[in-house]
Amino acid sequence: MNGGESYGAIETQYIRRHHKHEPRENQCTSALVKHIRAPVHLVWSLVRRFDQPQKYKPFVSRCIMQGDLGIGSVREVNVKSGLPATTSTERLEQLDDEEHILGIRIVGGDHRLRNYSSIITVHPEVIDGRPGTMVIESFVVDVPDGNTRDETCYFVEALIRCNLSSLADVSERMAVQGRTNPINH
Amino acid sequence: MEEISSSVAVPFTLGVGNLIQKESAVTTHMEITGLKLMANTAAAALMLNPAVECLKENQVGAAALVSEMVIECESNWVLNESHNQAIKEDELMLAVDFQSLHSSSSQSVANGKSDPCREEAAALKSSFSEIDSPIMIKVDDDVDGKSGISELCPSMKPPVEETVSVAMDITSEDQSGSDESDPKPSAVLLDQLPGESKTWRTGNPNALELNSGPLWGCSSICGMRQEMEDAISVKPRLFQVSSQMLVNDHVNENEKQSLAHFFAVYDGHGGLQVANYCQERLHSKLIEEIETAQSTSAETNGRGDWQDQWKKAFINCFQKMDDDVGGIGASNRGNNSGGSESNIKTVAPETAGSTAVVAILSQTHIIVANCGDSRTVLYRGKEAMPLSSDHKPNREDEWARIEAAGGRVIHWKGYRVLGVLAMSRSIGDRYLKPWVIPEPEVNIVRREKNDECLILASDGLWDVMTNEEACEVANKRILLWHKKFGDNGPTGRSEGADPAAQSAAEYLTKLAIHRGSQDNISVIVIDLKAQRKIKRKP
Repeated sequence: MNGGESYGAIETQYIRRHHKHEPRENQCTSALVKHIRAPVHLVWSLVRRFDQPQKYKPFVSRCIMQGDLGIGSVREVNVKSGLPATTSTERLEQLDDEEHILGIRIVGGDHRLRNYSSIITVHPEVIDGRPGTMVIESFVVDVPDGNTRDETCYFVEALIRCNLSSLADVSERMAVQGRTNPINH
Repeated sequence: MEEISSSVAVPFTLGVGNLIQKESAVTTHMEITGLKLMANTAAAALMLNPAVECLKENQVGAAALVSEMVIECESNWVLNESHNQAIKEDELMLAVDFQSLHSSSSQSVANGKSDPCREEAAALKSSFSEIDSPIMIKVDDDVDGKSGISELCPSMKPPVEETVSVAMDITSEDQSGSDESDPKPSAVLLDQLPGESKTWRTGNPNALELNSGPLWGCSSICGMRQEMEDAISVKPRLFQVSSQMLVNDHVNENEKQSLAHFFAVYDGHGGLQVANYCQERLHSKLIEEIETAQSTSAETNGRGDWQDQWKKAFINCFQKMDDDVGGIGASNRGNNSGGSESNIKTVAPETAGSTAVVAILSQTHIIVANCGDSRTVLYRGKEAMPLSSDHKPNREDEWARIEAAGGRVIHWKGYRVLGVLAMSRSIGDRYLKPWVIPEPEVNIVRREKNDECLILASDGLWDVMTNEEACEVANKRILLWHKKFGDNGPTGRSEGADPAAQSAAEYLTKLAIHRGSQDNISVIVIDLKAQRKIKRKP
């Protein structure tokens, strides 16, 4: 996984195109890349489930939708114990099934993340001759009082890295199962 | 999850002599039921007010006042119901002792607060009707059993005091590994109320230590969290430990064996899988490691430090538990270029973990191993001695170790590893390796005559109570139990929980709730006095 600010040429192109954040003075921003050995349609089927983040996010214990699913809908996420939060209220900003883009904004909760906005994109690629997926997640967020910009990015990146790692595990497991199932013609 | 009644002790006195004089059994039943209803509604009132106040002011200080009021009211309740002057005097002394736990200013405030509660109790006594209350009251006592007790002891003059169980929102679950060795608290109390005390001892204390089980009690409660992720493991007489593992005397040819008892508290987070796995397996793993150490000791003719052998045994045990829950041979999931091995079967998700505080109780020593922020404290000669040190990220040496490994400690609602986890060591939590490690710190202390009791508990208790407070309260509850029930003679070897230690453990969990604890609470109390004989004033 690429760390810090160094990306490959392809990653840089995708980031410039889909992951533009305009951070204000008191905000920090970053992007993370994860390569997954599973086809893009499979990975996207997990990412796009705004109403069921617990399918791949290990920190989510429960998710309750407020109203119907669609742009602007809001979900109430309950967080597992051990973390510095118990709930997070999140709004669906963007969902593009053609371009595979998911945009989310956090609008409430007890996690100290204010004005948090994130974009996740998935892109097809080939890994060892097999169809794979490149996932890019970027975010922008206020730096809370008492913390530095560096600390805030470090904290958020740790959580995103864990989510992407779990996304890889789940989708690769699904890919393996799919591969071993007989195909009926 | 199974929901059982929490044993909220509301002791009151039944005038057995008076009851026996009643003409009909029906009248007896009615009166007993009435008394229980009165006690239950009083308990409900006592429980309801502190909860409201705790919710209003989420401060330990305020909670301390509330909990002190509860202690005061409960003691007064006993006094109000008592017909025995001697008991009254003893309990008055205990009530005064309880107040000494707090500062004089809070004491005066509590005195003011206790008056309305007394009046409330008095008002409740005048009415047998049940007060409308959102708190559900469940009476667990066997009325027929009580009647039988009265009939079987027609000549019994001293009053028999009864503990009534009240089911509240608080969910109490006993998660000891073995049902046989760890019966339900209410069952223990009810079984032994008829006047029999299995824990009574006479004769040679050393001889008793060799033959009898430990005097333990435990209580585990979900508390304010939505899910229960704590687990307790109690294994009396788990294994025999050779003398070579307790002394450096390798010249001694005597292969004397000593019984060892196992106690542990596991506080899980991010899921209950790791704590449950430890509850099921850690003690067995430890036995394997100890047997290996004893074999090694025999081969090298007893050379080598016996304390180092304990440390190695515990370190190896905890590491193997950590390997198990993470999936042995699990590859680094963070590796982008390498292939992930999705076929690895893991016991727990990579974000689940648990603390583990373990105490081994032998005839001569207490051996403690701790990983995480649960804690064990020894009450010795009226002093609280922590036998473990909490693994917090802002502990200087832990902070240095984490940063040396390339991690960071960030203050995000308390000091946390990467700003995420509030402890620096745990079993599990694979996603935070190599910064969060499963290595326990091992401490070995020799037992002494003035050892009073040992407490193991999760941070749900220690976050709202000092070591000194917990030890003093536990010890007083043990003494209080013996004053009330301790007169009955010894009945030999004890099995299961000791009712005095059990009442202490339950009281500590209840007190922690009143103090505003926001977590699961798990407590083990071990009475280290082999012989307790408290003279009752004539």
